[in-house]
Amino acid sequence: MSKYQLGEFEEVVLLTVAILNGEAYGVSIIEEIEKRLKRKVSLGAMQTSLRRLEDKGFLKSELGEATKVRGGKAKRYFSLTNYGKKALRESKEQRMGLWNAVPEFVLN
Amino acid sequence: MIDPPRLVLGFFRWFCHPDCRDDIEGDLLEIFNKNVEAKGPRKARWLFVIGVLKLFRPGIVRPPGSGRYLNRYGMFKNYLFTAFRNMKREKLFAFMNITGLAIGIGCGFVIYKIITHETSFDAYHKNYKNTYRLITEFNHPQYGTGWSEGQIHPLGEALRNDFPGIDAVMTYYATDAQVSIVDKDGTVDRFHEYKGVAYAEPNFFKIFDYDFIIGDPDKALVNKGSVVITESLAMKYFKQPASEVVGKIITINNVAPLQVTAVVADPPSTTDLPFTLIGSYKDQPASNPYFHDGTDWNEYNSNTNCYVVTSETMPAERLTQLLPDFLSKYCGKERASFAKYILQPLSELHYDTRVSNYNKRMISKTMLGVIGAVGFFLVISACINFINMSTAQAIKRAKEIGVRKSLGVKKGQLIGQFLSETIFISFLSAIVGVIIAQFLLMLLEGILGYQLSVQLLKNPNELLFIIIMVIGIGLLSGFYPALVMAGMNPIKALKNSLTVHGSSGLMSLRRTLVVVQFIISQVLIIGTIVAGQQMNYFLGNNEGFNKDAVLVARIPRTTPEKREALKTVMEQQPGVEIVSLSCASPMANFRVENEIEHPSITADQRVGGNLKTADENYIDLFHLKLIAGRNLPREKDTYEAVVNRKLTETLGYSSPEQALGDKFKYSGDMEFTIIGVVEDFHTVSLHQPIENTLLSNLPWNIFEIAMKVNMSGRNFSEIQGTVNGIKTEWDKLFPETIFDYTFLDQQIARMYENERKTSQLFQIFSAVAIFIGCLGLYGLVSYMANQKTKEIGIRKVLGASTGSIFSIFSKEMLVLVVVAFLIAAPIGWYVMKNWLQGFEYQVELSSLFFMVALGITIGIAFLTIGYKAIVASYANPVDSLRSE
Repeated sequence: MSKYQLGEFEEVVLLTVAILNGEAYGVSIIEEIEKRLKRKVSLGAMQTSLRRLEDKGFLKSELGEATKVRGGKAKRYFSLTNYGKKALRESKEQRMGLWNAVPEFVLN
Repeated sequence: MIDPPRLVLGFFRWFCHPDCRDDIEGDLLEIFNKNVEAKGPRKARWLFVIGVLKLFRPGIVRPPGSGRYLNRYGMFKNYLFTAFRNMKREKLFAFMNITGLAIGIGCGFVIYKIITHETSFDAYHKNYKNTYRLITEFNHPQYGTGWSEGQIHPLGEALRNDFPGIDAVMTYYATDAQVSIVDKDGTVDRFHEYKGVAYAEPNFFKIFDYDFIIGDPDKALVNKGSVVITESLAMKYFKQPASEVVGKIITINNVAPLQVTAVVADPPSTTDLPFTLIGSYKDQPASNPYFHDGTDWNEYNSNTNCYVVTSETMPAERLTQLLPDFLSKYCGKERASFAKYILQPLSELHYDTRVSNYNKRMISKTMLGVIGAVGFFLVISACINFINMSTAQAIKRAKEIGVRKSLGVKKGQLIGQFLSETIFISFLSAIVGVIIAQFLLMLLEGILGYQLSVQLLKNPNELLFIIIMVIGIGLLSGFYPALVMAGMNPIKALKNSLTVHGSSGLMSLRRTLVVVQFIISQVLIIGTIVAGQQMNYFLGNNEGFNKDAVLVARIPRTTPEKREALKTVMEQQPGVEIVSLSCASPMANFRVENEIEHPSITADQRVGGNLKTADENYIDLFHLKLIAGRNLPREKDTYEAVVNRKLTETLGYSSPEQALGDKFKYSGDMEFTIIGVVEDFHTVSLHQPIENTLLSNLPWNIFEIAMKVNMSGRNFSEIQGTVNGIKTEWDKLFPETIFDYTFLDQQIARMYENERKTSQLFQIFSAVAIFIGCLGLYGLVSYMANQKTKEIGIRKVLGASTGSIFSIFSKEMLVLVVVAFLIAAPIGWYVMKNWLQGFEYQVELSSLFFMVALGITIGIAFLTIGYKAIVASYANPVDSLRSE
């Protein structure tokens, strides 16, 4: 077993944060996921997931500048921590390991 | 610009965790604005609402309260730690505090157990609420109102026939019975049962709940000759389990062989129908000589009771209205003119002292209240100790409080600390208290007559009671000391310049509390003394006849010749002085009462007389004083009577001699000639007045043999030899009946069992109250002695004598005791006066009792303080003054 415990949705969120690279905040992450995965995500689900990932240490966050568009409220930008990056890498390696182990004819 | 719904936004701001409130709100608004553009304002608002609702989830919702968690665990740990340290430093105080509270809690718990036991009688029957016992109330123009539980044998059937919608059952409870069992090889086992033998109509088990182990409740008592016994009797008689004994034969009093049809589980101890052997109703002639065939409408019997179950179609109120007509229909208009039926609820059976129940033990609700109050005051007394000792100690903790306060501890927190400390101490006391309670319950078993034990784990109510006590006592006794300590001035406390004497209110409260304790102790002492004196009076020789060295035994039913033979044989026994055959000894539960008719008694008066069947030896044996005329003759059936003085007065004679030769009618069909008059003697217990009594030499109603045994100058084994001789002769004459005897003084003492128990209970609880009070007193005095070490040293240096120093301590105590006495005496007088109202013959409430109570209290108080005071006054002043 891996020492990193990542749920499917959590992994998606982490990857999206990585894709957005510095531009990841609540709404942009949701839009990115909707765009790429054609999957509806509510703000509630997203925010709880982000907080949890932050609590677990996969993500870190900082408040950005206040903008007028959002009623004067600042955006909270999320980025991966080293620990988060490690978790993603390990997750990928596990998947790849599994893929490689599948005999070729099975999936054909 | 379109705004999102404000209310919903407000809601979001309210519930959202403040850490993420701003940025999530920004996200919400951004999405909202995009939606307004893409989907229009209406849809956007809806989506906003849904979005907010979806945010309402753990992780985003803020914690309740201020949002700051304060972990107080560490603080509590510190409080406990401080409490422990204090107890270790002040071992004596801690010990006395815990002991006092533990005794208080123990007694409180015991009294709780007693009261719950006494109030749970018969409540387990499913018909509890609508079962009644039919009792009779008599209204007499001269003698006032009286009540009787005894009923007529055919009453139940008549009730069932006349009133549809009710059920009624007759029960007969035998005073005692001999049970014989013949086993396989033909030997006979005989058992004498003093309780539990009853006879009941077949529907008995429909009305009262019994647990049937084997057998059918509906059929168990239908046939004549059937009997239902309990599991433990089955074991006792047959040494076999319940399932094996059905069909076996039990013979009652050697005349009625009954077949076991069912076995029931033992009834709980909380029932006033304590039946263990229930024969069918028609078989009761074996025990009840007056039953005949159960159809006589004139034969009343106090052991025959009638229970009625009402229903919705015939509620109790309606039945009560119909009963007068029923009474005159069956018993005649004449009886209906002075008697009426009352429905006594089953729930009152245990409390109603107007009439007896089958256990012959009623406890009035007032009495229960008094016991409860005693328990309450014991607990209060224990709390007072605690308050006194803690406030006395307060000054020693001044430094701690000063430090805590200067570190910013609020007053409320300090109060919390001290309260948690007292609750902790009362918790410790409760543990000890429960152990004390268990011992006390074992000790009280003999007095209470039933067995109780602590069942904290089995009975949640008991646990709840203990928890409530712990918290209640903790708060009650901790609140005032906590207030005092928390209110200390921190500067003074740290400078060590606090004095307890500085606040006079504190001292006066402490004095008041000590006075309250003394009041409680003294009222209990007065109660104990008066109850004890009344008991002595009961058991002293005030009955008007001799009861010493008289051996009595019941004679089995037999022929007159055999009875006379018994008498002759017994008279010849060495050590037996004189023998008499009678219905019962002068004072007995057995009574025959009927109406007396005489020209001097007008028709509207009804005068009852107690008829005692006696023989020529009766008056001599019991030392009755013949004041006129002559003794009863040896011949039977002459209808001559020796009456008591009271009866001659009732018949209108001023002197006993004038009554001689006069005749009166008794029970309508008998006429007696007065041949002698004896001085009044008590025929019923001293609870009741002397009644009209006549002794006559009738040939029937002879149930008892009384033998005066020579005791003077003989040792125990010689007397035992006489008794053994009597037994040997008895067994020759009546091999089928166990020789079962008592001494008359014991038999009479049993009539005052309830009073004896009350008196003993009071003794124990007043001893406890005094002990608790003494603990408190000792604590106070040792505190005073510590406080006054220097003062005493200086006084001694200046030449004060030991006595004058002793008086410093004792003066105040004396004043407190006397003040308490002035309050306790009237309370004690009032309470005991009321208690004595229950007896026709009472001891005088003399001032001596009160003086003795005062003396005892002062004596004990001085003993308590004496040691400490003497030690303090003998102390070398050099030691106490050397260190500053």
